[in-house]
Amino acid sequence: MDFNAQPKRFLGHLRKLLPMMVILWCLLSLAGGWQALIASPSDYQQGEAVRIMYVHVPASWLGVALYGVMAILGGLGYVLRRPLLDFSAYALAPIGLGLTLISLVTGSIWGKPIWGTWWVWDARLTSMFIQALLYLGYIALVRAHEDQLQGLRMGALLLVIGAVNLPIIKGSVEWWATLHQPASLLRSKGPSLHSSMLTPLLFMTAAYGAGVLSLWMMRMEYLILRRRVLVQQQLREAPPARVRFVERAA
Amino acid sequence: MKDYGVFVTAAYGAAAMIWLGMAGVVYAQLRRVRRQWQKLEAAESQ
Repeated sequence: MDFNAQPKRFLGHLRKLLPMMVILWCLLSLAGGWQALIASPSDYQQGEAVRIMYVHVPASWLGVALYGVMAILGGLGYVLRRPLLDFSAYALAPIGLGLTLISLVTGSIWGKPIWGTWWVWDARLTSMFIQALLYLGYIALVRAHEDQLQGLRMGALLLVIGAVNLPIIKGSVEWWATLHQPASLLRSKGPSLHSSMLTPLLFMTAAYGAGVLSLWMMRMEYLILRRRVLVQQQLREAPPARVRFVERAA
Repeated sequence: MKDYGVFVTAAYGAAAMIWLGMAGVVYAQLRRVRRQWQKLEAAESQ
């Protein structure tokens, strides 16, 4: 679907899909919450604290994955000059920032009972903190421009450059001695988690994914409508000579 | 085994608050811009 050429049709699809996605989000959250808090066993070393994994790990995975998706969308939008690709990346930014914050906060709360400290500047924690700063920097950069399209293009450059942090996040627990444990699922030898813990983790990841899609759809509709409102308002207020410029910028 | 219930509660509470905060802000923005757009469309049709 060429949604760049047909934002109206794209909006129609978003409005149809959004209620279904929100319902799916609620159902998966209920199922994931039940699995994580009631059905799954406690750990023989960590006890009940292991349950923090079910809110921490999906947030970390999706926080990192969303940055990668944004970098691809931003890069494509920059090269192909398709504003809706830039809007798609920008729509994901606060969601990715929120997930990275969940990862940092829940990781810190998990660290206190298990490591004995709320925070250490080891490679994994530091690279995740840098990712939060990259999200903030991208949002600030886009908002700093009066011309939103220009801001999105500059932001896309930051996204692509900042993507160098992604392999560092993934490799940080293998390349350096860190307090953070190495990967237990996304590793070459296969998952080391027992299925009784893997199932709730996957349920919660699906719930988070449905939440991301729901919020992304709302943000896309918001950004497209806000652009239309701004253009309409400018067209009403602008003298005739500026109308062509505003229409072209839209 | 130590009782880690307070940490589990804090972690789930923090995650839920951030999710609800995000959803609340995003939905409020969407509602506001939908109203603005409807007003503009109504003004256009008159």
